[in-house]
Amino acid sequence: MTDADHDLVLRSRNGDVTAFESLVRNHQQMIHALTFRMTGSTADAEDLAQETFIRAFEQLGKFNGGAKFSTWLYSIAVHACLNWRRNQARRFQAHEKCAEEMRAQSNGEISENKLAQRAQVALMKLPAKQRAAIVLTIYDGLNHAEAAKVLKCSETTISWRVFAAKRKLKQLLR
Amino acid sequence: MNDFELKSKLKSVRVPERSADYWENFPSQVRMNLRRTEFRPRQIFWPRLAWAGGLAFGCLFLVMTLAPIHFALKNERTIRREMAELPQHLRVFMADEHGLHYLIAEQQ
Repeated sequence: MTDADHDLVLRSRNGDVTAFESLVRNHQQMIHALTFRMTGSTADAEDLAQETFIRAFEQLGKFNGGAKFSTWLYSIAVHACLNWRRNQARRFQAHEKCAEEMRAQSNGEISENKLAQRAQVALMKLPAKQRAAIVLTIYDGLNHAEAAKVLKCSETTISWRVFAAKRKLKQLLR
Repeated sequence: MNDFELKSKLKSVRVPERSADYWENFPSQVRMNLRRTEFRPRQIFWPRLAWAGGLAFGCLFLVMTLAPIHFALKNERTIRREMAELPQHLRVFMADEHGLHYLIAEQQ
C-alpha cells in the first residue's frame, strides 16, 4: 500500500468520507476496467464498481494492511463480479449485450473492432472463475501468486484455470 | 495459435472510454450512496470478542485467586476464636469441602 493510500485508509476507517472519496478516485479506473472485462457490459460494470467501493467502505475494518490496498480492492471487485455471474438470467443476456455494445462502438473500424468483439465474446464464454484468472493475469499483469491471493485459492488452482482458459480461448478465436 | 498471439488478441479488447465528467462525478456518486445507506465502516467482530474474552478471563482469574484467600482468612478467624474459647481442649483442625472441623479433647 502506498503511503498516500495508507493515510487515506486510516482516515476512512474513522468515518472520513472525503478521504474515502480520494481512495475511490485513485482506483476507480482500475476497478471499472476489471468489472467491464468480467461482465462485458458498461452498465453492469458501473453498478459493480459502485458496489465494490461501497463494500470496501463497509469492510475497511477488516483490511489489515498486510496486502496492497489495490489487491484487497481487486478481491472485493472480483467476488462481486463472481456473485453477479450467479444470476443466470443476466448471464444469457450478457453475450448479447456485449456484442451490441461492441457494435455500437465500432464506427467504421470494422476489422479491428470485430477482432476485439470476438475476443470479448470469447472471454464471456469462459466459466467466471477462469475468466477472472485471465483478467487478473493477462489484463492486469498480476502474477499467479498475486492472483491466487485475490481469488483466495492456491497458485496451482490459478495455473490450472489460466491453462484451461487459454486452451478454450484458442479454440474460440481460431 | 501461440500464447503471444492469444495475448495480443485479448489485449485488443478495449475498455469503453468514459468522459472526464464521469470520472469526476463517480467518487461523489459513491459518496452519495454511502450517505444514503448512512453507515460507518463496520466494526470488526474479532477485537470486540477478544475484549469480551479477556474481561471474562480476568474476572475468572480474580475469583480463582481471591476465593482461596477469602476462605483462608475466614478459617484463620475461626481457629483463633475457637482457640480463645477452648485453649486447653483443641487438638486437631481439619479442613475439607464441608468446611473447617476440629477435634476437642476432654480434659484429663
